[in-house]
Amino acid sequence: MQRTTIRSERVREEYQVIKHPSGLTICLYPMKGYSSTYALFATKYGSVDVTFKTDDDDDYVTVPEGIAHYLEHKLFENDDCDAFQLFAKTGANANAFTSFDKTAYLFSCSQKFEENLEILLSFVQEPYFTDDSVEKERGIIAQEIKMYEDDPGYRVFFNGLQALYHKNPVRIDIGGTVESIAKIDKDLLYRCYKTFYNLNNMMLSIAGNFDIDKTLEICDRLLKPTPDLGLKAVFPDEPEQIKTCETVQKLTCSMPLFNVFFKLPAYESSKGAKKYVLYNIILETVLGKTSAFYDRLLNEGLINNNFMVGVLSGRGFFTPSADGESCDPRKVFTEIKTALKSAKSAGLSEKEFENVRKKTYGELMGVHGSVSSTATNMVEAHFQGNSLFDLIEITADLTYSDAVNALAELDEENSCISVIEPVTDN
Amino acid sequence: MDNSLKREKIADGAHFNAVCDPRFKFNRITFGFQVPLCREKASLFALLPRYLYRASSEFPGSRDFNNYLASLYNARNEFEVAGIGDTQFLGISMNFMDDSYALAREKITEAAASALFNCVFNPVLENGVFDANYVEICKREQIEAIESELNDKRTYAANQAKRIICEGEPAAVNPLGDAESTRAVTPEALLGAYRELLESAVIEIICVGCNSFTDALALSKKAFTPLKRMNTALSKSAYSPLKPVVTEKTELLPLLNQSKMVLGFKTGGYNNRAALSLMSNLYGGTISSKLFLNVRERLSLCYYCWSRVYKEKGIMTVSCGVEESNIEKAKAEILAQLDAVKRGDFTDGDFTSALLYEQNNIKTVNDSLGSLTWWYLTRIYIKSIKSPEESLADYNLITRENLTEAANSMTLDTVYVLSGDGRED
Repeated sequence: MQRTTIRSERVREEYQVIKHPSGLTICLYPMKGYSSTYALFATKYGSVDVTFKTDDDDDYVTVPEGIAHYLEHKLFENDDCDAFQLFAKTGANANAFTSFDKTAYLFSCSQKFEENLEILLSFVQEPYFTDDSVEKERGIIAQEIKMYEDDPGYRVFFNGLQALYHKNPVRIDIGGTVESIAKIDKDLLYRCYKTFYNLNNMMLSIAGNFDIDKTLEICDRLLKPTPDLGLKAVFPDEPEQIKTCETVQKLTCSMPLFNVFFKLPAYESSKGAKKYVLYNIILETVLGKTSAFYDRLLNEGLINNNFMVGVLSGRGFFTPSADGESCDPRKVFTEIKTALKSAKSAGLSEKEFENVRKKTYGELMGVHGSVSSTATNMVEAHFQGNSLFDLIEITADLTYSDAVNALAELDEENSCISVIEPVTDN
Repeated sequence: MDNSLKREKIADGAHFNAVCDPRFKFNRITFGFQVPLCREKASLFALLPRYLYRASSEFPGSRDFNNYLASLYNARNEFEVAGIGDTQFLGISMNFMDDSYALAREKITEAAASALFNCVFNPVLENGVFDANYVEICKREQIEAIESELNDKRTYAANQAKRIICEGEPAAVNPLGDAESTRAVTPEALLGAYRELLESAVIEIICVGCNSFTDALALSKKAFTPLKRMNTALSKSAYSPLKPVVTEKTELLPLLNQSKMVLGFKTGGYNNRAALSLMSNLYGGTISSKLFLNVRERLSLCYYCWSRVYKEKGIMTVSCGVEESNIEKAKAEILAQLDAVKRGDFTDGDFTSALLYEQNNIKTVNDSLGSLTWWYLTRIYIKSIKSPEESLADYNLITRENLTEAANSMTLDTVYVLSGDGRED
């Protein structure tokens, strides 16, 4: 068992990274004085992983959209009971989520941690699917999909990704569609499970109030070693240019919603982490609440306090973005591009860059005050090949010239806007 | 270190509260104002925290203020407007990092606390009244916030149902007010409301974090010294009376794929808060509840189907998203499961799960500045100030019989359905 201590003098915290003989990576971050514990058992498998092969397969297989999410729903059910029932006996808050590039099963508790960990490790390693149980779940997931179809905030985001990308599977709705999930059966679920729920492709992340030795004893007892299958998930080649510059949908809402995306190549590992921080700071400096842009558009009534900027990044995708509500989204889009172009030519304000760098530093420090944020961010960092402290270290060392160079790489015209317009009475 | 709540009266109807805990890296100071929720003044009062949090006479430009707060390592100013029972809650807060974590050990605490106090006590004025431009921005944002409730269909359905359930009562009023009243607000009227707030609102200042907050206490005392405080008594929320006949209301919207149903039940004054919480957990509050296991898991009718209690008003709601053709089936099952709880048709294991779930949630409160702030604000509001640990004892006293009593106090009052009008894109 290989054990490494990752320490940050800035944060004045440390955590352990353990490469368990079973193949699983375990990140353990005890937090003194905290009452609760947050644990995630996660696999590097999300909605983007629709085409893949292992060393045992002759060729790549493509599975229906939404299958990672379907699998997440089904895994709670084992042959003799439901994992929810087991967690109910401890009082833990249990849940799961599927994102673009990962699936995680989690619990939060302030008592009976070890019992909860045993439940988590057991049910995730014991799939049990029958034709009937898979069929029963289809109705529940269909209702979940329909719920999101009515959600303007959700639709404006996914429609935007479909405008940005031609083929990248991040353009697929995480839950799939009612039609795509109709093609999912128990055999496909088992195939995906065996491929991606291999401990070499997974991690366990725990933060808060727990004992490291007792945790490792449970892991030793319950983790079932799995051979590395040589998993390869592939993405189709994605053109550099956006697919379409505008997409519009009508839904019941009070005023138009918009989401703007800028297309950049995906970055891996440490380079990706630095780009993530940089573009967050650049967008915040040029368009955020400290900027002249924000002040002017707010005064002109073109945006309101829901206007946000950020970066969506993960395995195989990276896109700076801005979203909000506006009576004239297209005007806002034009103004955003003009502001970025102007920042390139006139230069970023060094003082405002420094303020936003400090703001970002403070935000990242905030992660370490919450057991759930700490544990969740350890998963994110590990799956991207980084340590939990990398983002804060990068931010501390970032320079003005780093930002100027990164801004120069952003082509503001290689962007798209997604708009949700209110349905009118006619 | 003793991390219990320290509470001190600083003026009539105004208290300073602090929870000091060195394990936190951050601090949070919240000004909580409480006034009676009423239709005539809701829009006006709701605008105040939105106006006050964005600037102060020290930094009259909101952009300058935002830059200043950014330079304080994301000192974060926030505002909140909410309804608690028949009370309108208005909050302004500042979250900030402890000085020792700053890159060059800059002084954050004093500056951030002072910035918040300036927002509250030294607002931006223009010719002696509130700044007309800011007022207009705040009005626009508030109107958009009121109207955008429609965007989230779950929230919209829940709020529409609550308005019907509490019809004629203060709790039926949107804490943000309404668009028409908001449009009519003038800078002069807003200044008047501000003075009224400082004069007569119940005010709770709550500080949570690693700081000792002695400076914040001194700032509070200094700020309140010149204020004339009067008429600060706040009436307790009244239990919502049961309607003589169940109100059934269906609202239609275009392009809706999934219907939402909200059932409203009333307790008729049953007031065992702990029993109500545990009953709701067992009935529809958790992933092992009767609603989850039956309406969702057994019948596959819904993705979500949950219950929630509003103890101040003696109300429980059940919300679900359901196919229009399954509305009656879902409703029948929701009512059947409540009947089962009323009959005591649940196991000791179910009862223990409901209790453990509550204990788990209460103990977790200690780990977050926001949760601790909200915990103490609500405990102060109900005039039962207890720490999370102290309140656990209330739950340990609850028996199976208390839980069935709580369920039997429930009578159906309202059925609200939000459905598509048949129009497609």
